[in-house]
Amino acid sequence: MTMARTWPHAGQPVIPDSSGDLAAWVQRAREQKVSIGGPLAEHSIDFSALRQTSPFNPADMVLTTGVGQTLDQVKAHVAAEGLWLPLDTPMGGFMPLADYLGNDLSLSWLSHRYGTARDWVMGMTAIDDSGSPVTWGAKVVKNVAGYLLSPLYIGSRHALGLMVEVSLRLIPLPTGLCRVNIAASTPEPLLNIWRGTVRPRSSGLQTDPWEAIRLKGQAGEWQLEGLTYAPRGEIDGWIGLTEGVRGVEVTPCEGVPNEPVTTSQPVRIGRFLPANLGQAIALETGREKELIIYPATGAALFFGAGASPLAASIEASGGQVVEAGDWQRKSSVPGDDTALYMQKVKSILDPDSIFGPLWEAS
Amino acid sequence: MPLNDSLTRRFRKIVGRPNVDTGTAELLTFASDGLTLHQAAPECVVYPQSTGEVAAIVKACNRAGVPFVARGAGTGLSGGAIIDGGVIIQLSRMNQIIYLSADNRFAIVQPGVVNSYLSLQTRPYGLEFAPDPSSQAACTIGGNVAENAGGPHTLKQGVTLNHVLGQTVVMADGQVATFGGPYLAQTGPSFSSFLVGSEGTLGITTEVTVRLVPVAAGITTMLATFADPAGATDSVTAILAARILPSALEFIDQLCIQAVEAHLKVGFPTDAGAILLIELDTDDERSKGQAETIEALCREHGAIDFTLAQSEEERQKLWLGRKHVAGAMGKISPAYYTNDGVVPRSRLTDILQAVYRIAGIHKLKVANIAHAGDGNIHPLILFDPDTPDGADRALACSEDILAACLEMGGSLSGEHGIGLEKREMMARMYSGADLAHMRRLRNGLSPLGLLNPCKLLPEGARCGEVKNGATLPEGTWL
Repeated sequence: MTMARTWPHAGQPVIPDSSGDLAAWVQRAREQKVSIGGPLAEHSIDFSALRQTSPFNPADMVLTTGVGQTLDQVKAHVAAEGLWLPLDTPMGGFMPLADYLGNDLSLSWLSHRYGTARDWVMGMTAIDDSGSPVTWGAKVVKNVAGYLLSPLYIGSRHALGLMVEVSLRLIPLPTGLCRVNIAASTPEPLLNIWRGTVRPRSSGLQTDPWEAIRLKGQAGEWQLEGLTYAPRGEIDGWIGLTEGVRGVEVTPCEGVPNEPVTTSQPVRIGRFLPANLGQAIALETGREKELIIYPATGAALFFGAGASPLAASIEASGGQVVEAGDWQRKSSVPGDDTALYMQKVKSILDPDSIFGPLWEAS
Repeated sequence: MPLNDSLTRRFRKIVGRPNVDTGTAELLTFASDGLTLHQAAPECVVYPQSTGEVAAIVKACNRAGVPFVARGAGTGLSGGAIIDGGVIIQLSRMNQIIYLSADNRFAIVQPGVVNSYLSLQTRPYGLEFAPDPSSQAACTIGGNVAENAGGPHTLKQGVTLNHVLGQTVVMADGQVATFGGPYLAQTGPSFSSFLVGSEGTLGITTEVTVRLVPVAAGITTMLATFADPAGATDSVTAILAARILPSALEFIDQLCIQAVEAHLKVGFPTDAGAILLIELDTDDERSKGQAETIEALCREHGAIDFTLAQSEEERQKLWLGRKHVAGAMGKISPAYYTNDGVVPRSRLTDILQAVYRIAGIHKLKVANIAHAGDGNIHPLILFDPDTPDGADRALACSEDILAACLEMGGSLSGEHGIGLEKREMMARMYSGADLAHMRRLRNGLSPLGLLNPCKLLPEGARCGEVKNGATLPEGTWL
């Protein structure tokens, strides 16, 4: 085990050079009664040096890698072998997996079809509160042996333990996708086009021709952006004579493009039932600098503070609006006890709060 | 601890007299689940019909210090839903689809809803519940959640974990908690996802919000026939390497084929060394040409025949054969034991060769089916329970197969769970620190240790009372 160095100055993160080094830092934190890693801990961690990737057989369609690798690096690594990790983020995939998974930034234009991070992490190794590495899950695509703790760790912002390695399930890299961009001055025609592609047909079948889809906009400028296998003729058929469409671009893709990156962090996230969008939820905007709406997933990202008629109408429809990256606000949402039981888990796995508190005392 | 009269009276107050069973004959029907090698009869079976009744039963058990376990259809294959001398909370009467939203593609169901019944109800809306274990005509959603059930079509669609959005759960102390909800946009920690696959050791699910997916508009079903099983498994690797993700990719060997044909006559080639049943969703542009590519790859790896189902009836017949492989074993053996190991996909050919070799060492026959695309094997180990060491040899054979899976970097279980069956093998898959971490969490969430005790984690001698391979009294009707 590597000898831990002296604590960095205030505001500077601990930079472990290996998982063994990180374990030593945790042991030291325990001995000296200081906190490390969690969102409110005295010492934060820069995981970027934990980049070791295990030997990878593409036929296994599972990649085991250190959490210092960025999402983009992982996707590029597996794309070279014709594989894909169907996770994305509008915040840009340049952050290490530790930050991406720790904060669970996996809500994206792919989520309606491919879910979020918890659906693709098959196994994990973390450093526990004693400074020991602990592993759960497996390095295969299917496993039900033992408790799978990853869904608790993903999004817990390193307050339960410090993830150091993850095993990710992969699928074949899609080919033949087209990128579609439809512009309009208001969101309604774009919403109508999307609804027309997924509503039940006379045959009783529902469809979902979108691999990725989102509505992006601000006053006067709206775009429906997505990825689909549908040929140009079919896409033109979706649009038909919809009034208000200002332009359509269809571009064949090489591989799978990432979701366009936003220029700022969302301040709130809305969750709602997709069928309510444009019905109970009015797409009336307020002072938002920008909005991203995932219509098929039922989510909205708000950029900019202030009153929002859309946020108000999501809440009025029974949906939820929470502070971005602040999942524990769910505790104030009736009918979800996740926050309460996360606190219990915290008291079980880190009773001495080596990783700092789970959240600020209210 | 023996059940006392006051606890039974309390149960009768909670659920009504007709919904409490303590008669010996009735209790014996709960003495095993689908894994009959482990048998242990409860002292009482209670049939609640609501979350409130389950919570009241759990609180009563806690007060009395009596162990308890929830049970659905009892189709599990790891001895997870039996208990020696405690209480079974039988959820089969909680079988309502509470709410279905076709527009928002979710349903809220009680745990006793049968898996295939749910999809039957949602198909008119063009939707289905994707996990489809072979027992889907009988197994229930609650059991699917507890075991994180899979099935042939989870290759593309994922397992139960990927299709559960939320749950109402009676926790070990009887508190009712709700996790998640109908929203797809779920980020942050998920207690609901953590509970999926926890084998009913941390809570009892009384309502589940499940995600529904569109039924594929077009389906192509293919049957590839091989003289050599290795050709079939090599084809699986080649198909996935060609960037094709079929919705199902199933391996069936000769012994299974012969049993199915003796039982159902679905048209499987009885002289084949193995077959692959391959299914593709063909509802968009990406699937164009994939069936032809699959045929070429199979032929390249030794397929001697390759046919496409020409009608829905023909397709259903092929799947009938696949889903009844285990049931057909009765035609060729008085008993069998199902293994559920997993290997990295690239080791599929290796593990099948190992399975045949290990079976030879134990002087047993093994019929092999596999969710080949997932690397999840199901060797059906045939044995004669009337021979003195028949069951013991089958268990030893299975243990050796699982050890081989672990040596190849795999797992003890792909979809059946650990239960009683494999708990002592957990120490071969995980380190002491890993297991201690899991145990710490379990002890913290179920401090009295009464909820489904002795399952999932190695317990040593403390839980040795469950009878391994015990036989029921002669003439017992099950």
